[in-house]
Amino acid sequence: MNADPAVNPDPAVDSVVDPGPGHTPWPVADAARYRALGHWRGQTFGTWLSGLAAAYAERTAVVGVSAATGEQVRWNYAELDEQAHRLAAGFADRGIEAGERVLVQLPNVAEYVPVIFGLWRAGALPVFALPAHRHSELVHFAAHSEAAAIVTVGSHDRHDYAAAAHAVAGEVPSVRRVFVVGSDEFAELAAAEPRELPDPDPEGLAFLQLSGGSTGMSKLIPRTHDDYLYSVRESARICRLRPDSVYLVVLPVAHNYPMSSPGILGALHAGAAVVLSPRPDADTAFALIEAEGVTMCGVVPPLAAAWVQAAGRTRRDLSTLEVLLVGGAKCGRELAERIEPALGCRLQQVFGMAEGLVFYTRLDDPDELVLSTQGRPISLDDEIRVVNPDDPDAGSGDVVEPGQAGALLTRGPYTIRGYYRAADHNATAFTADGFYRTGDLVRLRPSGHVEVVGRVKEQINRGGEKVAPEEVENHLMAHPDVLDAALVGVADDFLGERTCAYVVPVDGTEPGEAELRRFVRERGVAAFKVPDRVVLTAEFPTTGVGKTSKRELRAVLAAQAKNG
Amino acid sequence: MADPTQQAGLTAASVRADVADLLGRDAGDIGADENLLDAGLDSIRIMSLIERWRAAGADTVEFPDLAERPELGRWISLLTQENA
Repeated sequence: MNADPAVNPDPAVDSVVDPGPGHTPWPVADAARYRALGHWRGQTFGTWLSGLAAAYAERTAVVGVSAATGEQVRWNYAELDEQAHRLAAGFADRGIEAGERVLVQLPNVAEYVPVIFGLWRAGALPVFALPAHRHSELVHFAAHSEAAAIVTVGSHDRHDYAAAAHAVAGEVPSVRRVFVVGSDEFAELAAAEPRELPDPDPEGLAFLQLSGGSTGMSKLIPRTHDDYLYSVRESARICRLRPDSVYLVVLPVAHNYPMSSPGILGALHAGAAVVLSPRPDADTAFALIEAEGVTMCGVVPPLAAAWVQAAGRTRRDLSTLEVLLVGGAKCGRELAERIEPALGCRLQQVFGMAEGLVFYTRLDDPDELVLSTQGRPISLDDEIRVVNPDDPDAGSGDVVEPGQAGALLTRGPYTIRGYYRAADHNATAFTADGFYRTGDLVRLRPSGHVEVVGRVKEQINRGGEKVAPEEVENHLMAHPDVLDAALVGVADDFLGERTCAYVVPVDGTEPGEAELRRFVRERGVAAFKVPDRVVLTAEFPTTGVGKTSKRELRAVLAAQAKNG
Repeated sequence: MADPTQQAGLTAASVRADVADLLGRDAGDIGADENLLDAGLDSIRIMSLIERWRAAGADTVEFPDLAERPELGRWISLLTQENA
């Protein structure tokens, strides 16, 4: 079962563009139905923002720290739309063409919002990297999307993002430009004379999100203007956002969750204000809640737990906070019960995926459902199937008995029908009739509310950040002293799951835990993928036969970790 | 998690024990200048430590203080009157 160290795959150079389409369109009949129902309205992000600017011109749209000055800035809707026009012109003048992909790696700075709208207005497709992503991941995203440019910042939080972007540009031939928000050159770009550029096709691709992935490197998720805006409008309605709402972003803003569940886009749709917090810690966030009168915020469970604890000793006034959304990973009942009393706001559970489908508990749901489920789908046209979890090829007809746990499949007006340029992967990630295999193990209530039970896909959910075992194992196996490695998720009170790497060293070597962790980090991966624990073991338990043994092995190791 | 209100303030030993507990390591194994991020800590875990330590009396410690230099020796001198 041990892998041959001579053929260790190297994810950093696994950048060959998969054959397959960038966009797998919905079947004609479904698309016609979604249009007829008014879900798809033929509107792009650019024109949508201009419409909002006309309606809410003087209202505050964005509050946040500027990457250029380090000072807090405050822009109204008219200013935001004007900046989007200027940036679009600036990008176009510098050779960014409609349809081109642009890798965006920005922390929670105010410029994030106008930059993405500027790219959309120029017809470009942002590819949303997280600030935590490092060289090998950025190379993969840029190469796989054939990105024409990278937009990032200079140095931020002790990391030189601009240098990292230039290193990627040096390795990926398609990358022609690096734009550094906050630099003098960027200020010039952003001052371009505003002009109208051709509006892109609303049913065409708008951007690429990242999937957590389960096999190897992240897949890219192609979303259209029309499908995404439908989920944004409905999210704003479900979360009851109003023009006087104030939505606080504390998670990395490029995540799908703070983008659209209901996120910055849901807030903008309602004419509300978006406040970007540079950090998620309670001191920073509570100060912003008090200063800006924040009414709504979205967090992951470990953060909710830290805030609940901090609420007991804070002197900040949190009384404006009406709703705290908790999602990204399952919120346990015990934590759920502590949120409303500690923070004095309504809990709203959210369970969604960048591929599309999002569940919310409704604000008027009975407490029991809010505490014990992850909500029901956004749309009546979200088709949900809970199928046999033991068969990875289960079709949409292989449904389990009502109330039994099973694998969640879905298709609908805002769920993709295929990953970007990933024909092989798509063949197994989707059913023949177009359902997306979410990889989540769920139980469905008669009310349509869903309870997340676990995962069927091999993916570790570390406090909301998804980790693909194979990717981390490949990094570990690149170490000269590592013969084989298996990464498993183990229960963690705080994170829900943490990662534990079991490593078989090459005979006669004894690589240290800290050394292996540092090695993975220095391979250029996000910190959340660095194993929390590394356990050396002389050999792996035997696990049946054949090529699926790595999967079985992980299951055996995970069970061992649980029992002792 | 231990009830922090029962701690009579922070000591080098208690800070070391809290970090070791989160990392799943023996308290004595952690070097004073070892990078705790390499050792497996992350920002979410640092936040949980802050809450625990503020409750135990270190009421001015803030996230950036710890995140700036994630080393046990540095943290102990910030949080207690002692050296690592």
